[in-house]
Amino acid sequence: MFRMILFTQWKWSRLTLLPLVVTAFALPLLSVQRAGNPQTTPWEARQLLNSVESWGVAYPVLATTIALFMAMTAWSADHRGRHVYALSLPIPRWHYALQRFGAGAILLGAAVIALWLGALFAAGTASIPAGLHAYPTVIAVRFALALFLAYAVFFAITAGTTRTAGYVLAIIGGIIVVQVLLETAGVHVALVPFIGDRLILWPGPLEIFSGRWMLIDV
Amino acid sequence: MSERHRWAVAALAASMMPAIVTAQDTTALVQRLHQLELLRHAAVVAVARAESARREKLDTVRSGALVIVVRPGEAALVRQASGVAWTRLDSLYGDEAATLSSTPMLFFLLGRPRPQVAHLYPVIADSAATSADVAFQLVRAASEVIREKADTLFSNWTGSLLLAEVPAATEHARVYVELVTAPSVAVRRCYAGTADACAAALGLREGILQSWGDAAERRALVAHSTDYLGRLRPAVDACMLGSDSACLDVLHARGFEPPLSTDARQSLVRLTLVSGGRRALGRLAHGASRSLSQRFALAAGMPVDSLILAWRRAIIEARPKPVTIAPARAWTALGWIVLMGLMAFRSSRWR
Amino acid sequence: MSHAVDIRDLHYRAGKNFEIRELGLRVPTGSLYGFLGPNGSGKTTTVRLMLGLLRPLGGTITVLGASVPRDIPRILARTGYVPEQPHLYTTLTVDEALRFHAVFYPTWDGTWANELVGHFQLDRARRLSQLSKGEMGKLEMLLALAQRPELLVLDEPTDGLDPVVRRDVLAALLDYVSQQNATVFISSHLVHELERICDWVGVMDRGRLVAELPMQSFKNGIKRLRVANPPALPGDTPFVVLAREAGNGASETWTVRGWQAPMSQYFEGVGASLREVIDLDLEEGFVELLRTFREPRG
Repeated sequence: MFRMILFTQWKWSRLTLLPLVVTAFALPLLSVQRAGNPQTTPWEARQLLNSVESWGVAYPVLATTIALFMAMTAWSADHRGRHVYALSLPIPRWHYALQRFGAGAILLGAAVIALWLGALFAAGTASIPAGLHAYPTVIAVRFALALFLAYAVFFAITAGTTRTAGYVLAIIGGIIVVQVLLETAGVHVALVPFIGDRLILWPGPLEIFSGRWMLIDV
Repeated sequence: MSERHRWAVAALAASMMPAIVTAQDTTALVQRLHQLELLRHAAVVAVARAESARREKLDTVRSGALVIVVRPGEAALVRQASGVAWTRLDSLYGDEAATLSSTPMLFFLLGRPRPQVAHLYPVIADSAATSADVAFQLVRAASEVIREKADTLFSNWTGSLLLAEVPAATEHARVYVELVTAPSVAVRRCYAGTADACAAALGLREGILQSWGDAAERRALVAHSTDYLGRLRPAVDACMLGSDSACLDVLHARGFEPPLSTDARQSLVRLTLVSGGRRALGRLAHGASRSLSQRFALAAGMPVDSLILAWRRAIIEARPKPVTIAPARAWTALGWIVLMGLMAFRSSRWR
Repeated sequence: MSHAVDIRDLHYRAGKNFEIRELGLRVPTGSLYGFLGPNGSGKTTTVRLMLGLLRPLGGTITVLGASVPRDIPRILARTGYVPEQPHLYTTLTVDEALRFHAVFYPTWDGTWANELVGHFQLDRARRLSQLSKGEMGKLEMLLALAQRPELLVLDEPTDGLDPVVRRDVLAALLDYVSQQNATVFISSHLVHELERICDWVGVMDRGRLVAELPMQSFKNGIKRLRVANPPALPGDTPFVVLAREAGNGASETWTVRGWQAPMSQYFEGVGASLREVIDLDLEEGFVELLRTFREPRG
């Protein structure tokens, strides 16, 4: 049963997933391209660090993109059929959702492995100056956590009903409206930044995305 | 305008009268009349300002060696801030901070006209400034004053202001990254533990541009710079073709900063001030004929190599945390994954 | 008599304008139950409630002896369902759809499924999105039948299909029923079709079950009578008067339910005379039933 669900997930996502997996493999290599030359002088070290840091923003963006795509793919066929087929199958509903989640997660593993291999390859082939170190496994683990977290969030949203999505949007909109009203009334309460901080700072859900993503660092 | 100034303007105007009277050319006469009119206008403005200053009352706030002239309405704010500022200044600059008493400051808020008081060091803050903001501006201004009092050798070497606000850990972490990445043989040897190389990289030893980097680095330095005078062009070309002596000529003529930045140099100064006590800054800033190395040794009360090695140790110990994932972060992320997954399985569509 | 489907006091509301109230429905085991009703009467909603796709506000639903929604997976494992709109994953091929569907049903008969593929002339390599309406209808029926279900729930299974396809689909259905003692529940507004194959009929209108009885009784039970000199008030009649319409002169046309031939004596008793008894086919009977349900008597 799970194999067939995995098969359908693969069939629906492979055309877009493959380029994203290739991107995941290439990303670490691109971030250290300045260090590819064995003759690289330490003059390049600062530029290498700057390059690695500037590419760092691509990791969470890629993780979010792949996760969003996979979550949407997991449910798009069911959404088209208004979930009648899935709901008429003889398995508990949560069981079906779990299998869909698992199928997507397995395919996401390919992206993680690709990134890890790319990071290992990049770390192995780059000329890293003394004092700097490569962290291929760390960045791959962090990418995996960010990827699966984003996937879980988007999966939950896309699995829900339109009403649920409406509630979520209403809450977000309500917060913004309250902030505007407070500002208009002259009450300086930074509600939106406060909530943003709770999300981004530990132990918020988005904390894993924040900070520097460095394949090579001190 | 004071009485003296008014008489000066009048005298100037009077001195022009013979020229006006004796001028035969109509055009020249018109020009001179125009100049006279401008002078008269300036005199009127100056008189008005003098009158304004005489009418406006100002207070003087003192805190330690800080002397601040301020409008009465802002005195309470400045009084509160100056206490905080003086504590910081005294803590960092030691006895040198006492020299601030000879440089009174004038404080006023943006949006209001500047009080007409001459020869005072201006300190400006935003109209919505808090006590902490004012304290920051006072410290900044005082640091600038102290810097200006230092001799050229020291002030050129430290570069920008030596502010009291920078946490040591942050500064050291930044310098660590520099130590690791600066494109210089001297810096790499410093990182490896050679005190001499550190001294060279910090620019404590003058006239040894050669030790800052190897031939390839010197060539790269020349290549990265673009603002050369025309007369340096032949030397630049020769340098690019591989002549190290030509590169050295260019670098000497161009004048380059030491490989380690002002951040690194200031971190050394801070360490010296901590080691050397209240008189340390004075010994650094007013060293007469002493070299920088000698000044640092005298200020810190230890040989300069020992000071440098202590500085290096502090920098190495401040290595920034590598980009790892703390277990707490990882478990938290996993927890959120599970929670979001459960929300998906419990969606109302499925119940 | 046991019932494959037993619905009692079902209550459901969708929005402000549609409500199912106090719905009671029983489908005898082994029967071919035709669920009739005009468009918008609530047939599809009832089917979805029966299969747990919707949640009722009240009432009980028992299917194959198990409770909905508590035992839904067990029920669905024994139920073949053909919904009103095609519900399969259109990006799959016919072969992939068969393989996907098969893994969920332990009773799946792969051999028979292959036979039906050949019989329906379906191209296994063709994607579902490329199938015609008739081919998709056949595939839906194939998937439902190949499960070897005890209960088949078919919601407008032949709607929009051409006569040839319709015949193929119904033939396969009847073939299956003849082999197995399966219960078939067909919801449709195509009265003629149900008339031919069903042995029970339930009529739904505006969220209410109007009638539920054996097909033969339904067909035979509703008649149109031409009555001369009818009484002003019918009084106590042995049949149910559904409607009275004035005719030419002193005659009327009565629509009645539950008519039997000996009942003509009634008219002699009230001084009227029965001129003609007109048989209504299922469709006419259905229309009359609905009309009388919607308009209060007299």
